[in-house]
Amino acid sequence: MTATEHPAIGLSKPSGFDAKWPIIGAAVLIVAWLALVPLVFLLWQSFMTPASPGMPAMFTLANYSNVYTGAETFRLLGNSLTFASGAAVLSLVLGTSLAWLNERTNTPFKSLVYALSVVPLVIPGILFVTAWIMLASPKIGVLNLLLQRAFDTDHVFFDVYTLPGMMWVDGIQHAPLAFLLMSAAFRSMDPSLEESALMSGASILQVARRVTLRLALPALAASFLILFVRSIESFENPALLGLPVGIQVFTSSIYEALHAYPSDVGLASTYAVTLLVITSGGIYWQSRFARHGSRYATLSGKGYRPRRMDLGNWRYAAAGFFLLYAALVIGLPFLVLVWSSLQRFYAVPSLAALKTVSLYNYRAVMDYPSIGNAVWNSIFLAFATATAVMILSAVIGWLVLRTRIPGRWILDNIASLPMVMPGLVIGLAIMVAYLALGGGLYGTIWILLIAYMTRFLPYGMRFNGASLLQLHKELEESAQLSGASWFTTFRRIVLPLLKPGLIAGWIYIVIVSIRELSSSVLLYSPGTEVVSVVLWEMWQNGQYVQLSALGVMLIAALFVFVLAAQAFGRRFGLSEV
Amino acid sequence: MLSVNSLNTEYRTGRGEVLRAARDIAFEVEKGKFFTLLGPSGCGKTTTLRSIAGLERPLTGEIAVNGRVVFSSSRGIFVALNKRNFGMVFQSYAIWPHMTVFENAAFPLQVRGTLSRQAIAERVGKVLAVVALDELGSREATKLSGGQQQRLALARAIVMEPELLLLDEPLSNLDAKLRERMRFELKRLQRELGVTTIYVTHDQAEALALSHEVAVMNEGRIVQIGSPRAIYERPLNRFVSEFIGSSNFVDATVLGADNTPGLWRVRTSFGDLLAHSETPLLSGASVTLSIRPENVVLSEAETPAAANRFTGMVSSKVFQGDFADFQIRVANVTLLSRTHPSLRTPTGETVHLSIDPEKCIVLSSV
Repeated sequence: MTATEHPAIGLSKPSGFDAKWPIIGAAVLIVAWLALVPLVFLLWQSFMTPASPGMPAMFTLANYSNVYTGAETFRLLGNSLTFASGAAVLSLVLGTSLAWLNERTNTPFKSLVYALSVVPLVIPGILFVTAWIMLASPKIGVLNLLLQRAFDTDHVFFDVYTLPGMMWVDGIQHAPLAFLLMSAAFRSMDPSLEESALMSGASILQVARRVTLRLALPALAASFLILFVRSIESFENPALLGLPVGIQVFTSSIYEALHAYPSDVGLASTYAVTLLVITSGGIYWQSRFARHGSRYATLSGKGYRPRRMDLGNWRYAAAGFFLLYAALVIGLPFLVLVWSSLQRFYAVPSLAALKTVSLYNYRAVMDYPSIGNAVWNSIFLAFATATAVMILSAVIGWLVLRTRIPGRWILDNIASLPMVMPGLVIGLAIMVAYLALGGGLYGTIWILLIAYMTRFLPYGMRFNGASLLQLHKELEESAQLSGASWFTTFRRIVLPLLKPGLIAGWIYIVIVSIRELSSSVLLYSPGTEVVSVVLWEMWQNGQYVQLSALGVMLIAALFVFVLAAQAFGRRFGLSEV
Repeated sequence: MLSVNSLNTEYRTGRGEVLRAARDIAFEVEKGKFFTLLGPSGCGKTTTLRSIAGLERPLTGEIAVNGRVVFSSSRGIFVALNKRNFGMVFQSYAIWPHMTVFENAAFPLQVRGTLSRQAIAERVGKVLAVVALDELGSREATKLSGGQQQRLALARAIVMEPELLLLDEPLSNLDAKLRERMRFELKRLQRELGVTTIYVTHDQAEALALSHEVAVMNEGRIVQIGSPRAIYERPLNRFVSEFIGSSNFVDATVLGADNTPGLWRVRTSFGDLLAHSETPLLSGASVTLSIRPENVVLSEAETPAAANRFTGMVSSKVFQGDFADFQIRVANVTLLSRTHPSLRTPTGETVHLSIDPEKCIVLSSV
């Protein structure tokens, strides 16, 4: 090129092709397909008779009439609601007290409570429940046996195989989540509202009762509903603790209906639709309360350091409460798993049993037939899900927040729809849909990928939505004024600026994918097992000690991953991962 | 009434640095007086107020009210803030959004639990009447306007008849017109109630308008305490002079004492002056003079020669409506003069200046 033939810089080459609409169109189709198709088939199935070789499926209302006229269903409904609200109340009371002590008083060991918030992330539900069975089952529970030995009695002190037992295990499992939700609520409160109450002469308890808790009421209601939905969706807990003694809730009944012979998909679908109605109601009211709560968020511009109230000597009692909480949430469950992983045959901790400690189980896990495959499948699914979901939700989030296309809010709602769908229901719906549609996906690993993407799409939307809101529109507009196409702007400006949120969301989705059990348990086939399914199989086979060994390794791996994620997050200026 | 002695506070910033917010703060406030802590943001005035309130625990010092020690580091006394019986109005007002106007104002009486329901209603009614909110008792507190919220916060602070009323920039969230009206309101209320009041503000006009006494603070220390007039007319140093109003600063050398007590002869680059100093000066010492612009009196007509009279040239002027600012070049110095807007001397013309020696202040420290 010579100096004379100088192409005009101001004019881009006249390319007629704009990548914008094909990409957005594809993303919209994928999201709609992921979120809507299984739901439609689930509804369809609930009105159909089971298909058998000689008989095609036929329209029927029998599923609903059977379900809603049977006394069984009302027992089921009663159990589910009792279980979920009991567990939610327990975790809410625990979490709120912890959050209040942590945010508003001078109790020591604050950082400990924060560190424990990652526990629900690193301990998969099935391991937490298993650990509590080893701690508090009437026959082999360590706590029972130790107390029985100490008091020389055969009285059963704790029994997890009861409704209160199930609530207890689920409640403390979700207490760290309740703690995080309520900490955020307390932190967004103007501290001078409480200071002025103290100045008025109110005691610490009067302030907590009449000002702090009253102001936190919308947040409390919203958190209760989140916890309630979590508990009513929970599968591991009712399956492991409730099924053996006949305490059934919706999730465990769906599982049982599918695994009975002959399996009753219609009944399972009807249960699933009922469950969906409950969770949708919960999430709907939760968003109403959350909006109501923002009316109270009267944060003044001036950032005071909130004053910590002096509890005097009571702070040692509060510190004791922190330590007890740490023991219940991580200390005891993890220790009992480690202990049983070191025993060839399960034995209660004692000096005699200390002599039989061995690493036998860890070797046995390595030799477990499907383990290699399962680890590879889990890693592949976690990485593929996280990558696909984050890219997909970035495009959808951009479309919803940046364009003026009519009906874009519908897309937002569709992408968030799986939030109300319990894992087990997603698994069931996808099973029904892809069995009916054919195409050979059922039984492959791709069906699991579809399930995971559906399940975790709302998380991606949340992470990307939050960072897109902070991204000034001018940054994109100036790129386009510089002559960049939509695709170039998205690739060079939007995605790099979303990077912290994208990475945080990616890591989060990797972690929750590795722990995923309730969808996988309905969709796996020989060859497509994942690690959590191997744990599930071991439980079914009674291989508790091998399960413990695999569990300890999984917890260690997830813990390393969370630490790496936090270190990484700090580098990108992320406050929480 | 209130006495604060050698108060020092310290806190750690997020990065672990130790910040000394208040240093060796000491002052006394007499009963029924209106005392203001005035200074730029970060000067330690709010920290001092919060220490008095008990919202912060100082490192060292002693705070006593009516002879009752509420804090003493040497004796290990720290009275909890809910036992101090002080009323406080926060900058954000801190009106509880989940209560009505009445419930907000009744709260301090309710938590004490000593008055009957009826007695509380009576007292609250009276206090709400004082702040002209008695019609709105059952209204939701969030439905109040900014000015009404401010008055409710005040009602809540005085309903328990506190020993001390603490006000943390209560007017800063109001718009300019309302702020001016509330100044008069506040002054009237304080006089009527006779409650000893500590007021924190960064607005010098507010401080001068409201207070019996003002303490000017800078970098954690009190730099001058005095009546508003004394602070304005006789600033001790350049910071006070600059922070409260504007001022001309002129470097000078002391020649010696004048015959009139308190007046000194000084030499500046534009001529010799008579200036006022509270403290004796050494001949030959370098000093700085502070001259308020409104004390630089201009006239177009030549005046008979006398002390502190000079001739200068208008180098620029700004018409401000109720006054006019002139920049006058005298020898190699430019002085700012604030005059009545009727003076219309054009730029570049000669003008005559005179400065009252009593209003020409030698700053005691720089």
